[in-house]
Amino acid sequence: MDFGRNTKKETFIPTSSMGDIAFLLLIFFMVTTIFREESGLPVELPRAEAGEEVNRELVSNIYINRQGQISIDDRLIQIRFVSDLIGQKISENPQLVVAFKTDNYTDYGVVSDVMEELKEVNAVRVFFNNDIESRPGAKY
Amino acid sequence: MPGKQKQENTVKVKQSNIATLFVQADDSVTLDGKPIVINHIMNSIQDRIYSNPKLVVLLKVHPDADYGYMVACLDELKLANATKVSLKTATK
Repeated sequence: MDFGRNTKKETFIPTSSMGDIAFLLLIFFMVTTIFREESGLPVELPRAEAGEEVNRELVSNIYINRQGQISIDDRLIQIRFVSDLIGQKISENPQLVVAFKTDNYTDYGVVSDVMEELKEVNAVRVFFNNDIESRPGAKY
Repeated sequence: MPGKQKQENTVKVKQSNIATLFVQADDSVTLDGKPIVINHIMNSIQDRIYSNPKLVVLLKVHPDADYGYMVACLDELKLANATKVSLKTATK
């Protein structure tokens, strides 16, 4: 007679709660994910009454601060590289609109030099960003 | 680079159809040589466009003038429905 004990045990991983865990993880990542936004340079935009909304997907921002520093895509760049960078963007997206986010007190000469660079690569769709004001030129 | 071609479209305009708005280095503004307050540009340009619909406004800005004044002038022109605007940088 065989008196040997049957020691074979079935092992298994409980999978019934797997779906709950997957959903919890999914919700956790959805809630905690932050999309990176362009921070640019700190500028005080001029105030104006007339203005138009632009489709943001087509816009490339050029930040120019009071000291005349220029930033595109969160990178400080020198004025002579503006045409190359924007030219590259225009070849990727011919509908590109360039938006100037320039400080109220920046010398116009810097803005003018940047516009000259843009003209070199036919970036002629240009916007000047401003804050909305109820009465234009009130502080002047 | 493919986009690196200069656009050279020049349009000649009669002197009588041009109104020159000039933002000077000290941020003062003149319209055809006469001093003007920024808040009065809209009315003044509206009157000029009414009497001459072909009017082109030449906005000339000194490189040392504040950018904010250029935007303020552009804003007034937009409020005056001046659709023909040319932007020029004055020489130092």
